[in-house]
Amino acid sequence: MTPRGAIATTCQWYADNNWTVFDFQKQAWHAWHRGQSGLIHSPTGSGKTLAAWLGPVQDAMRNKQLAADEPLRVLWVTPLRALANDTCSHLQKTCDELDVPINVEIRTGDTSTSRRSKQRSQPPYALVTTPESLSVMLSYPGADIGLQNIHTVVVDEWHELMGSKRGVQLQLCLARLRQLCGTLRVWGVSATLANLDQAMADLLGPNNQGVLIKGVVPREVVIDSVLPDNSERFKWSGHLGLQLIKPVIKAIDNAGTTLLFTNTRSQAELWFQALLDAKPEWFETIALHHGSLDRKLRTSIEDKLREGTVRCVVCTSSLDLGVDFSPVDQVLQIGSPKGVARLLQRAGRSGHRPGSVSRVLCVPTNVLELVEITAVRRALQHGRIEARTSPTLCLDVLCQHLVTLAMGSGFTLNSMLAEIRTTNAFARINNEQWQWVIDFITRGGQALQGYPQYHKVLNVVGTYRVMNSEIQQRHRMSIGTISSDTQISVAFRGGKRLGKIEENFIARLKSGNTFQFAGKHLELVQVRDMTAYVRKATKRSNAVPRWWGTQMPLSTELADSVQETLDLWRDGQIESRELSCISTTLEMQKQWSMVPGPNDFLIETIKTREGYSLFFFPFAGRLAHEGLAMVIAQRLASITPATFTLQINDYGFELQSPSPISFSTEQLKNAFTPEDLLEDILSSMNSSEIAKRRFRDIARIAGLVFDGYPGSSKTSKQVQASSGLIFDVLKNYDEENLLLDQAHREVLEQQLEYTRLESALKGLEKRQWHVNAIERLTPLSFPLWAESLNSQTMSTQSFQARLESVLNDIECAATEMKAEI
Amino acid sequence: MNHFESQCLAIKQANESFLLHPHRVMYWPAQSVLFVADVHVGKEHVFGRNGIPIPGGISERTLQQLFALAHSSGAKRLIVLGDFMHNVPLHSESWLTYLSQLLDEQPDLTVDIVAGNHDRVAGRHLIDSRICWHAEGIVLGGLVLRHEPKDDTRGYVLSGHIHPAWRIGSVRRGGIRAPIFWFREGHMVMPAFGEFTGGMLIEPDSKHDKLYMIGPDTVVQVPANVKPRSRWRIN
Repeated sequence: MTPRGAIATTCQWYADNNWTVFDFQKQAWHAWHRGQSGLIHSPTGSGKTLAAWLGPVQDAMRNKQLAADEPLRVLWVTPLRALANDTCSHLQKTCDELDVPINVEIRTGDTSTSRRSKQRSQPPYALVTTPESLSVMLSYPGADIGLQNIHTVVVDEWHELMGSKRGVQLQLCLARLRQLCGTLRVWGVSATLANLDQAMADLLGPNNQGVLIKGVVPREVVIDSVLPDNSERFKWSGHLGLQLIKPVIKAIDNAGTTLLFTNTRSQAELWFQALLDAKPEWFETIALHHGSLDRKLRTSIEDKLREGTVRCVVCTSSLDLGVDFSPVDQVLQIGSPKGVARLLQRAGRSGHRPGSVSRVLCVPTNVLELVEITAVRRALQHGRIEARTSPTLCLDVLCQHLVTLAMGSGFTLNSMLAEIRTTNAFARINNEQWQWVIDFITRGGQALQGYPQYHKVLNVVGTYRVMNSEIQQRHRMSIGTISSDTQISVAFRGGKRLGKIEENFIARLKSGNTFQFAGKHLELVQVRDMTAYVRKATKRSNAVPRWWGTQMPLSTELADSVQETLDLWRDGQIESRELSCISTTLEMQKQWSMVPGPNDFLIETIKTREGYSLFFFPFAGRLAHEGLAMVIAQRLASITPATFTLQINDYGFELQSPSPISFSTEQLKNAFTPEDLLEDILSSMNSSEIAKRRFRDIARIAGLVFDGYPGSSKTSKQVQASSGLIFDVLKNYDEENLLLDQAHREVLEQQLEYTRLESALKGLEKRQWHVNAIERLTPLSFPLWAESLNSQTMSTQSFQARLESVLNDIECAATEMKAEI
Repeated sequence: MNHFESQCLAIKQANESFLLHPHRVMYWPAQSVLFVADVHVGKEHVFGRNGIPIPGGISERTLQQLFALAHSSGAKRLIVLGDFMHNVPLHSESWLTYLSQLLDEQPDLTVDIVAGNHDRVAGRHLIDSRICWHAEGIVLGGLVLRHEPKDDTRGYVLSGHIHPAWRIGSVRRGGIRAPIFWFREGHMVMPAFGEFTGGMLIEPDSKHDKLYMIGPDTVVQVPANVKPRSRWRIN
């Protein structure tokens, strides 16, 4: 059978099922048969899975009598383990219906050892796996299950992976596979992005040509909102949004199935509890789903969702992705959507049928989010969607990958360097960096020279290998670049697992204390072997674990749109339900201070009970504001010595000082100069803990920190040290360590969004400055003032002075409390 | 008052005077003894041997600081309250010769090491005529010197083992987390001396315990009953 014939057969199958074959699907199949690689982008549920999958299936169809020893041909990489099951059965079902005798299996961290060895002796035609499991496969000698026969790799939801270090890890694995396999087609499947060319280049490597295949036109997305009845009493600050629980319940009641998206896991826990409290009779039909819950719990909820036996699932980004879950009727978004692409993705979970409309109902948690809802709608109308950038030169990931390969078939220096330079992430690695990485994995870096016992990777006559089995075992366990703090499992005393919580949270609890998790009130019994044993609590608790690092910034596109929306409102050129609902609040902002547009830079100053405050509104997102706040605080403190407390949100930041401060507009303008920005940021960073916190992930990925596991040997306990400690030691004894350098770079680019910060600062120079002394807190400044929980202090005082001021602070609080009683 | 003393905080406990030094040692003038705990010499080598690259030189610097303190305090006797070493050392580890050299430089200094959990076995591998190992702890002038903190009927206990640290306020908000000397009713716990050792936040008894927090060049008594201030809870 010719490829053309196989495609015709496929089309017939479509016709038999009364489905339409989309042109982009045919394009993708033809491209596959021509031996090409590429990227397919199309909205969720538009058939892009089949576009990528049926090429290889048609190939198998052509030689129906597949040999009994047909090797592994297709690798299907999915970003989430949770998706693997669905994907696998979806792919298998298609083959069965087309009557093509190939089988599809799963290989993830959950696959049993016996299953794996069976896969080795009788490889399936296609294997569904994750980037981490692929890495583990490469860590076995002989490349495990015959990866060299693969002719196709499909990377599903590439947009989810490309922005992270997991994407970098996958780039490296793909480079390896390109070397290993004779002819390899790599196909990415992605949602629509602003920078598709880059997405494709990241996937295929800078020197490889590919075809970009555009799927169906996205469905229309309708963005609606729940409005408060009484807008004047609607909160000016806060992120929970329970004020609107009544209309939300009504909306859930009116629809068949609902996904209720929240921005953080703690928010999901609280909303779930609040819904249960309001509607106890929904006990059986509402569910909670987030990334910290045990996989079994999550899977059972996903099943219920598919069966349609659940009314509403409260979830976080854990359900952003999904293999065409049977569509839900309605999607609700609690709180700021943060970005246009993200809201699109979430909206896409509703109304999956081609041609139907995607709808999302936004639930604001404070007044200003109503502006955001209008703004996101506007950005969408103008087609302004966020681009995704991917990290480069992640030396920690490279260190890990090289050890992985040294455990597998081993590598030689020159060919390895050439290989990694075929990836976008490491195309520009220089010889010095490369040499450092090799030194690091063979001798532990420059600092370990002359230290003979270090032998992680050995140079065996030109080939680099790992010989020590304990190192091998430890390395395999820590493969993976998904960052996490030390997590400890939560389980009932009977053994049923509920999920994982950060150790820090549990550490603050004592036996008998209660907290809320997995939608239950739990009482801590004891902590043993990295597990917190709990029982159902008899009394209620308001303590909810906080998961760090879940706060994403408002995207540039959305932030710009917010300012434009404000501008248009000021000039009376825009109308929306949301804006008219909060017009009173916006009027207040206008009268007490001003409503800033894209050409204004608003600064508000005020004296409150807490001290003297300066509010700045650059609208650059919370990450850029964090760095900016530190720099500005330091620069202003050099004019008048002061201790500032910093508060940050997506619109701006606050500097608060206990002692009077006053600066002229000229002084403020000077403080905002882009000159010496980098130096000033680096120097203010030294006095903070951010770089150290960032180092946690790097240390884990590069193999400096190793999480123990239950039953681990004594040696492995003896080589556990906190990443903070290692950071300090490296700083004192091995300052040239490039991983420290990387921590600083990552803080700059990811934690502080340096590029965005710099361009924001340059933009501010051109704006018109308004320094307004306000009499009371305005709708813009109030949330910052109230958000003291996230504040950081910047101080150049000595230990003694700092200690005194902290103690003083605490005493004041104690006195205040007594006074209140 | 010599320079060492001027850096110390003088305190009284169990009818004895002690000097607490910011470099995490404690001096007992009555018997001219310098106490130290949890030095963890050789720890970076144990990491290195296991494929985790930690730079070398930490052990040497730690030992150098320790013996310099012994010298400047004028101590006649140095007593290590356990975990002098992290694990059994290899012969090739460079700090071994350095230790020997340091001992040569101060021939009048008596060195006693109470074995801790890390060097109960390792101690058998560091045989030196100038070092006296004690498997069970020492009773000296009404004090009991041991590794694990535990009350003892024979007297007030000086110990180490848990690397105590304490936090005042939230570190993110300018608060401080630092190692401490932790004095309880029946025993006290020394901070860990080694540079490459972490700390553990303790749970003090706010009524009876005394906490002495260690700054870069000062030791300060801090209250054991303070809670970080939280101004508002926003949900």
